Amino acid sequence: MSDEKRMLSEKERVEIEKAWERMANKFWKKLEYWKRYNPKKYRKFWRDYRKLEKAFGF
Amino acid sequence: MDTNIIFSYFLKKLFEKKGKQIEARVANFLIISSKNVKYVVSILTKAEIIRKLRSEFSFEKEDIEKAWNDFISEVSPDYTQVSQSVEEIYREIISIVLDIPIKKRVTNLEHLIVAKKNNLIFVTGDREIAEKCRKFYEKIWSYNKLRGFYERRNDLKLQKK
Repeated sequence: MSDEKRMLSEKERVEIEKAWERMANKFWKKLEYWKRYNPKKYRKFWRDYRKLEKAFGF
Repeated sequence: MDTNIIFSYFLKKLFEKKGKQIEARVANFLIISSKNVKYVVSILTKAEIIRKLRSEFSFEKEDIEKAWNDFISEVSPDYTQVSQSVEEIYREIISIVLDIPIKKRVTNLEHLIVAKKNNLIFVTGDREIAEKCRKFYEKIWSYNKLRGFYERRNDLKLQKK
């Protein structure tokens, strides 16, 4: 995993977009799962999210 | 930067990919301000982000690597090498926790020491660190201070035009 800043090639860009899509699907399923079966975790996720936005003064 | 700000970038991208519009002002701030503010991450930041993506959401290793590369490409943070030994970092952490009762775990202190050794500003949402550790290192900023600094700088730019 390289941390050097560089321009991504078109091929890399396409691969990255596909990776985001796969992760987003998993992420959404996880959120839905928490909402249904682990509401405590689901509420904590949003509480932490809002807390960060608030800490920035937004 | 501590991990929370950076993690907001990943959440924003994940929601966007699902076509969900959420208020992602922190992530938007990070992306926009990165054009004018030079952010720095270390291997510690990277480890924390990867841990979170893997453990909380079970993402695949290859996908996480690609997402991290996308973050590096879009936000363009500098990458600081941690050249200090673990001994050296933890000696400093021990001197802090001996002097001040710190309730939380030491991860944010690790970030703090890395920032100190590299003379960087440490931006954190950890109020305990921000309030108690300034006597060890002055350059600790809250999120709010970072935002205020950025907005004032942009105001100055607008006035000059």
